[in-house]
Amino acid sequence: MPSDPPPPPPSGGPPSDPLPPPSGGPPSDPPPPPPPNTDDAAAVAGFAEPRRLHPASVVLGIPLSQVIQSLIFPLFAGFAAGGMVTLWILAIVGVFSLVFRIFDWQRRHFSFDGEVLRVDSGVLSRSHRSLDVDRIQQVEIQRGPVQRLFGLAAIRVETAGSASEPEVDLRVLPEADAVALRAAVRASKARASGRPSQAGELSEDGEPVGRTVLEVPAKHVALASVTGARLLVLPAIIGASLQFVGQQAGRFTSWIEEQIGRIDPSTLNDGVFEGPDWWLIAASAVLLAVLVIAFAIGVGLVRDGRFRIERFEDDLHVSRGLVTTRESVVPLRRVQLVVIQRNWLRRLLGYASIQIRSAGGSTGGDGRVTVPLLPGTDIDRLLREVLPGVEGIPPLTSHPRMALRRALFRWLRPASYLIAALWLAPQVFDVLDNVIVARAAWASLALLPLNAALAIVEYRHLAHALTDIAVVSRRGALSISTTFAPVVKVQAVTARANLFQRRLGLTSVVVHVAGPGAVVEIMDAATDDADDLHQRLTEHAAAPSSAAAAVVGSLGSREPEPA
Amino acid sequence: MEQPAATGQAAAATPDDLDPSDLPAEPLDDRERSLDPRMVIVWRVFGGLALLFPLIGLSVAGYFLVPPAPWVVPLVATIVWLIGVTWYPRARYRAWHWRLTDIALELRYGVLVHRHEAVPYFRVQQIDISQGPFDRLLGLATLQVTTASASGSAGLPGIPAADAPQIRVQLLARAAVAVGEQPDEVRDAV
Repeated sequence: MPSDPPPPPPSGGPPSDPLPPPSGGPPSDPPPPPPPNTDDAAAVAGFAEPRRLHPASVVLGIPLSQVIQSLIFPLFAGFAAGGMVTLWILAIVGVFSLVFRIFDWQRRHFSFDGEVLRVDSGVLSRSHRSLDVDRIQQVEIQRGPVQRLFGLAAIRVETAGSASEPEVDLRVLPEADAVALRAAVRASKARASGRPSQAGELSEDGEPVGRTVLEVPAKHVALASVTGARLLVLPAIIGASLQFVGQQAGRFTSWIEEQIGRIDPSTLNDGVFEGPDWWLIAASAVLLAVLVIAFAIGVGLVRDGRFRIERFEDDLHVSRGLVTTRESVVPLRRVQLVVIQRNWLRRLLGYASIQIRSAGGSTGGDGRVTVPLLPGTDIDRLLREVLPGVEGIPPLTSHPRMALRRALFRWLRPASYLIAALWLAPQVFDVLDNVIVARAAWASLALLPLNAALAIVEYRHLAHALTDIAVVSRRGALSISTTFAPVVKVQAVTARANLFQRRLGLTSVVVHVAGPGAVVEIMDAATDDADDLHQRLTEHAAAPSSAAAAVVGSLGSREPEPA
Repeated sequence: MEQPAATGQAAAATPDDLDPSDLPAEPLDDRERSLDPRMVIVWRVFGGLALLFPLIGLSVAGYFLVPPAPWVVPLVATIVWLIGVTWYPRARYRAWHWRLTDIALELRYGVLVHRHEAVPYFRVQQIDISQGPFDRLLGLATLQVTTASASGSAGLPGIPAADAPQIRVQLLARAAVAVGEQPDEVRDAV
């Protein structure tokens, strides 16, 4: 990176040099229905003329990860060629990208006239993007540590149907402008959807005040890190870097081998420990475990610290992150799936994590927001907030006993493949070390009772429900997930039964909602139940009137339809 | 039902790629339909080709790697290939049915795994007609019905190419009617 960015002037006003007005743009007047709130119009007016980003975006305009990625190759090429060359390559790359960034900043303009958000950009090939305010799903404000230092922020605008990349990424703006732009977009959006911008109370700086729905205390974030997949982050990094520095890894493994090689069976019985340095090995194991846990907690707190959900009108605002605060907006009307996940450890401790998936947005992938950890007693309360009309986990119908046979089959089949391979391999191939294979073959038999137990656990958790508001499915063995989809969001329904399921009188139902991989799978229900579910869900999807009206009514933006 | 209205709106739904002579005189009823019988040929050719190379690879590997009985794997592979070319395409054809009900396009298909898919007209966002080279040779087409969910979108193969535009228009018309029937707040909420 080039050196420090020039300290930005505090004003975020349009640059002084004249700019051509956008061609063919609609006039900057507010749309036909007169704005109920004059502040909105004022807020919009500030963005009606095309303007540039903050000059600091020359440096801060690209995410750090991208800078690092683009530097990796020249660095390695440089090191391969020798030290001085590295410096030259770096200097050349640096100068070129700086010049390019300056041009890029100079040619990047954005404007918002109350209906359309426009971004014109590109040095060599120009691109003009117009986003209709109706299509905008999420407006997210990001502040990294450097950005916060200079009072700057980045805005990400996401639309329905955008894949992993945000549709518009404005980085960086003066923080006040970012907040104002978000407020303007939000106000126009509320107006465009025909709903009054019922701003409610406003704080002194004109920002609407939200109601706090949920705050996750730091100890829960830490607990989530220790009981979840974050524990694997450090081992994964270590593994990858060991592979990277292969030589060091070789030295390490040979040290281990040396230690183990010092085990001399004859000395063990004499009580003479000339063997490996057990203390050293134990101490490093403990140290490693402590490091892994500390690292997981650290990563968890940095990413999810100060996790907080607030409700503004019909949107949930989720903010989290200690260093870089990520803020995203989940419109309640766009919630497609809510998944309550409980792995075995969290189940023991009485906690769950909750994933909220909305259509469109791309918060860290595909519109997913995950509440890291929540006490089991708070689940119903959060469900009521996220899925209006849902009162909590409804009574679930469990599946017929035949589903247990399927679960056993599903769990024992892969185990039996492994066992069969280990038992048959020595007969077919004579190249293998028979002693080791034979031991592994015996050991593999332990998988049978273990997997059978898991199958029983899975069977006991299989269940589903269909209410007027939502379809619910529960499944899983080690990690149990309970998935909710509002019935108004159901796009299509598939019933599926393979040869074995048909023989057992079972059918699975897959309920499709918008979003990549967004389905509710009801596995191994009784065929009669499944057919009934299929029909009722198809009817719901074809004419969602009553359920939809109930949900819309409870969102409080319109008069509920008399049922 | 809404079918007279459906034909009325069909021309409006897709004005550019259709001329009025394409419009069906009779709206499609809701009886169960099969695919064009020529799909069996398509599946024979493509299924045979798709199975050929993995099975040859497997046979060669089995011949050299299973010393006690080198011919077992190639023999099994040959039987699998013959079944895949003779019995399976016909079974697949017999299993395939589709229907236009009052509210949804319903597909039933699958030999080993039976599937029953329902795509309500209200949720249809886009309907594509696609024809591969072999389809064109035989005069067949595939209708791809897309909803907001990628996995909840349905493919209807084996439609005579001459009928495909009509079916598409009918589906689009039904989609337009279904959307029109919903009150505003429902359209908002979905």
